[in-house]
Amino acid sequence: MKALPVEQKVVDAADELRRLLVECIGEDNVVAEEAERRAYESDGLTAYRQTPLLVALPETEDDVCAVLRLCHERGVKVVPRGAGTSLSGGALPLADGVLLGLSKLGRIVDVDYENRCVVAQPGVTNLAITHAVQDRGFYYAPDPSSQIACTIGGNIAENSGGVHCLKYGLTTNNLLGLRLALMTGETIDLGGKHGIDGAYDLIGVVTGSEGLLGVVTEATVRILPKPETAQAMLVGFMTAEAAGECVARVIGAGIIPAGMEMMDKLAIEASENFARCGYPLDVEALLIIELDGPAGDVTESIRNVSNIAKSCAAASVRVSSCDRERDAFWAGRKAAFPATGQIAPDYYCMDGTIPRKELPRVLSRLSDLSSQYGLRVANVFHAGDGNLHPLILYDANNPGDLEKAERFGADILKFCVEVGGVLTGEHGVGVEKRDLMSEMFNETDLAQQQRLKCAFDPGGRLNPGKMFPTLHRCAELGRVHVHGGKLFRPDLPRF
Amino acid sequence: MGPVYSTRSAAETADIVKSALADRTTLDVQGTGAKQPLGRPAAANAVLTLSHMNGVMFYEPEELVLSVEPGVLLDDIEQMLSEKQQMLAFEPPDYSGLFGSSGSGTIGGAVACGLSGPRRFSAGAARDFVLGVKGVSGRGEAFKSGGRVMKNVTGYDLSKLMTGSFGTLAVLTEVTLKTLPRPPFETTLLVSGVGLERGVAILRRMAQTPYEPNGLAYLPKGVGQGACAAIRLEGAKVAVEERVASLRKTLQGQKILTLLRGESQAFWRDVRDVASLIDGGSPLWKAIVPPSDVELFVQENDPQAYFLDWGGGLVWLTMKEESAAPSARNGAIYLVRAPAAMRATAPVFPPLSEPLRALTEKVKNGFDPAGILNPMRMYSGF
Ligand SMILES: Cc1cc2nc3c(=O)[nH]c(=O)nc-3n(C[C@H](O)[C@H](O)[C@H](O)COP(=O)(O)OP(=O)(O)OC[C@H]3O[C@@H](n4cnc5c(N)ncnc54)[C@H](O)[C@@H]3O)c2cc1C
Repeated sequence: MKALPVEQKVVDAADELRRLLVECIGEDNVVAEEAERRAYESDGLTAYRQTPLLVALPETEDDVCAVLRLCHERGVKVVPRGAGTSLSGGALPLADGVLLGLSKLGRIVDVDYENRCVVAQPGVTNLAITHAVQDRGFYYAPDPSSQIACTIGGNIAENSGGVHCLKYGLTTNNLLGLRLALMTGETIDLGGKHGIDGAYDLIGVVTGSEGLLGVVTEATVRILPKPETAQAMLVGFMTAEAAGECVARVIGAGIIPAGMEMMDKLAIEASENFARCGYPLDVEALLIIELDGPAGDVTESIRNVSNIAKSCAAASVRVSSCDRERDAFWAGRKAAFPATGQIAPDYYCMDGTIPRKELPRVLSRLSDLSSQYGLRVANVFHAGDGNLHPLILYDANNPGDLEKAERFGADILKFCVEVGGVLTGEHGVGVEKRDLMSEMFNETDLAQQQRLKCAFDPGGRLNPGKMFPTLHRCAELGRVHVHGGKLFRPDLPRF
Repeated sequence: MGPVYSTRSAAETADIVKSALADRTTLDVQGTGAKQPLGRPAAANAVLTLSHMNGVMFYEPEELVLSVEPGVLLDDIEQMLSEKQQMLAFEPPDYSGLFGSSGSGTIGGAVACGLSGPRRFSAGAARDFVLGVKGVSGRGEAFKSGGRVMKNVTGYDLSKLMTGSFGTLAVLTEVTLKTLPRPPFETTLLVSGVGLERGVAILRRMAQTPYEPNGLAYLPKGVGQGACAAIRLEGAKVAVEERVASLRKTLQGQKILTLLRGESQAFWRDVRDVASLIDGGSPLWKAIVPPSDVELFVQENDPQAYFLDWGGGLVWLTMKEESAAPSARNGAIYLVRAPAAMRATAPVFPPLSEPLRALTEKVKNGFDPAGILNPMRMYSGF
């Protein structure tokens, strides 16, 4: 990854900028001490580090706008940050930029059961939304494994998913409205309690935009009544192919489980070792299938899925009999990342999505690559929607290992694209996959995306250096190339 | 109306748009024209029709994915999917009755207009089912966004931006959609003899239950079946029957009619297609409001006729005075059917705040800097 050139005059004027920031949002909300700034040097992708020039921690939306306005006027770059759990370096700071931390905007503004929604400030954590409404039997559906820490603002910026998005969708499918502060400090309201409305679907565009288009200052999210019942199944297979076949047949039979997760042998072992959740250790692949909804529907689906599993030569089938057992089935999966962290000094988490039918091909390619690079890989997989999380095991203390892991990862993602998939399903492009974007998109595709960026942030001050391999000036992108006065095609057929 | 150009491929589409750009021809982009009366009239001097660009790229039911060219007819898609017990869960409406057009139109038109039927409040809107698009921008450049997989955050989600942009940003040349299994069984309960207040209370209560209703409408007296709240349940037969039994208990004391499969389907098709408000020809409005506001909305606007869908989040209405426009404290109002002259002057889409209007115009310019694709179709000025 090549960093952007540092704007020295901005660095030189740091003291003055600090003073102006303090004027805007107060001494307590500006971090200038080097040691304190260093706490923000990386997000969940810890291989990349950069101490920010300054850190601003606004307490209100007005503060956010004031910081943006100031930076806009002075041409200073801004990197928004929620909880800093991004796995793609989306919140990686800039040496010549202000890190805009949103954690102090952590208030739930409104809980509205009648309209089935919660209005939250961006720094509210994902889980806090569910906590605010669970007494009344409601919950917020998207559930990233990082949900105790990650913020709704970060979830929107990354369009985060979770193990239940097969049935309930990603963040984007659960949003009703947004308030967005633009780089100029102006705010716009999109949608609201009534939902996404007319005009262009800018909520759709902002969701997953990795903090490049605007700063989310308030979100209205949909909450759902908790399903009447939820039951999970733990199904073991002697081959990954059989597990893949089972997934395809479940969906082919018209059943959309709430979640359908797959783990390979190494991931099963690591998780069992870590969480002692009773996973079978004599199988090559494990599926966790959760069915939820009205009791009758769940019973019916469990029966159907059991039959399908048997027809796919399942080696073991267990059905949870109570919520405690269901939680136990999930405990291992939910701890898969930290569990992997116990069997190797370091791991590198990938996030490609593939058409489900390509799973056997991709798995065999993964195992070839694993031998070629001499690095082990554990696979956890949102099997229902084709989202792979290969965890590449390495040791950062071995010189060259990190680079090897990164090349391995890039090869995996390129293969995902080759089989009709994409570079990232839920973790975002960030700095990590920025240089791989051209595997999926050509120059024209990328230019068109950047023109959208230009509409929101013509100066390119908001989170630059993420998502796009090359930065073009908006003026250059705006030029229209017309081939001199060519006539409108008179030769085309008319009706 | 000017000349009509027909395209059969993305390359040809790019050629046409490029030439139009060169001589400042403006294009009215159409499928079969079924939704021409929707939105503002485009101020264009030529027509570009996509109805001959109608190939099915692939349909893989077990992957829940369908990829088609824009000119494929909605009816044909419905047919193709139902053979595999699948559906487009956003229930794209058929406005042929409403507009007196000859068919329900093309998938390109359905996506471009971004219209969603009764399942909107539970399963999602058209935008939630568009996985990927290919298009030609007003710069005459072919581009793509998204893909064919269910989960994808690689780059900005232009697929959602295209959905509902009424062809003002790009000409769609391919759309990839998520399909869903069609539930094997459905039942609708009609709680009859209820006024607005009671009806809305029932919808609200149902939306809070875990019985997963995926159709919740209210029809007042004189509209369709009249004075009833409708609750649709779908799923496996035994399971739906169980839920029906539970709901009947919750609704004890009410007069309840049960609509079985065919009747239920017909009922929701009518709701989807606004069948009960077709007659009369007066301007038809649609308001999206927070369900908690819906009673007040109806009282304040005192419509000629109306009904509610989306659990009370959507109001279809005609006004007593033809020239009057409804208003909402919160929400968004659209003019759906009106003579062209009225659509050219009244706000057809919800008005935009000043910064949002400026941003919207910049987004438009980023795709179509010369303003040659469906000019003015959404807003006066661009
Ligand atoms: C152990 C672990 C497990 C994880 N599991 C999952 C998972 O299951 N599913 C999943 O999808 N992800 C997962 N993640 C990734 C990560 O948690 C998500 O991407 C999360 O949404 C990031 O939220 P955050 O608040 O930490 O944002 P940050 O990391 O602080 O920022 C992420 C991006 O959002 C931008 N941003 C933050 N706040 C705002 C705002 N208010 N306005 C505009 N832009 C903003 C930042 O600039 C950055 O680009 C996991 C991460 C870890 C460490």
